[in-house]
Amino acid sequence: MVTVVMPSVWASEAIEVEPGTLASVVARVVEHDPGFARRLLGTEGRLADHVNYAVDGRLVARTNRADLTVADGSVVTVVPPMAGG
Amino acid sequence: MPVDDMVAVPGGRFLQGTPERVLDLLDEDPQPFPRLWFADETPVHGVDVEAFEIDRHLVTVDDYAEFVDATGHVTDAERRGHGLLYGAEGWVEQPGATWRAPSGPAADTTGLGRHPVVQVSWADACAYAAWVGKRLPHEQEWELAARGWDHQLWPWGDTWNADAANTTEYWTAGITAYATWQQWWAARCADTGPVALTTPVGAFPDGVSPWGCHDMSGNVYEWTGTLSRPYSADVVCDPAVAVAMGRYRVIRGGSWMNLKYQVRCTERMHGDPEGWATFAHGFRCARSQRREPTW
Repeated sequence: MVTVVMPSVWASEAIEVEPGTLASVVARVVEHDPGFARRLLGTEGRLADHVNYAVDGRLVARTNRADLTVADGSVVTVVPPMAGG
Repeated sequence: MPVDDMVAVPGGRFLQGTPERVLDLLDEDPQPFPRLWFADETPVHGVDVEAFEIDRHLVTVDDYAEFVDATGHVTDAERRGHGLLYGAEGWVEQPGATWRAPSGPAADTTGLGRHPVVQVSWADACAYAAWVGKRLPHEQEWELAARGWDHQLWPWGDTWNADAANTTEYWTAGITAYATWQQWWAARCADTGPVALTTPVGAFPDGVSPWGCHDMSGNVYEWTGTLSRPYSADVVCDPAVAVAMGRYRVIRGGSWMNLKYQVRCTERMHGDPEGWATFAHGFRCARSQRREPTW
């Protein structure tokens, strides 16, 4: 499983989803809680351009990131364009 | 060139950060954020600051227009074709939202010349600062300019005053909770769309800092030049903030979108410097103080 960690004001607990591409991982998060769609998805259901992702602590470059494979056991951290506050 | 109106701040050592007693107060207050949310403001630690000057006011739309006219600078939002607005359900990418049309092409931009420029990325802010022979303030400079040598919650002191800053409380008398603000904002968006609630610079004289700087609490979030770092390796931050460390740039001051907790002088936020801009983010400039020859 992949562990998806959100900013603490979005979700107090991590979400576990099946591994796959980053886009599919995010889609499963939205399936788990549709309320995240407005935060994570942009036009036509694509990954919102302004939201960053880190996989196992490494920030993922925006280029071609939707097809990045997220392996079983990985931790994905969602990082909004403005963090903290 | 825009008017060069700066205040001089002498160098010295001060204690940067939020004391634990303030976090205790935040815990007791009915604000929505967990203690972890503010952990990046701790621990209090001593820092040495060289003498510097910092803009009395935020950079305005008119100031930025002079820069663009002189240099032909194209902002990141203009290049991308969109800027971010906070809509009824969160941040959205708005086509055509730029510093010239902060809330998108459909919104009225009449009379914004003396408002702080927004829809500028970190790089856009740096480019302007370089053009005027300045730089973005370091985060410790910003904090010292906002509060003075002694810790105080807001630039004017420790007692909240909703008429001293452009914050949520200024626009929504009686609203003190984020969830209630979101309801109010959603209703406003339904009526007018998401339109930035910036105010002309210097419109809140009661909120001036000990050094004479305006709008250091609220109005717009302010980019600083500082790369985000924890104050101590022992600090446990929010997971998103932890990833931002070493990658994002520090943002200070809060904005018209924030409640009083998020416009404190020691409040830190962290912004992605990779071309991201919103209708609530602006900046002011600083420079190291010129040293007079001693002979």
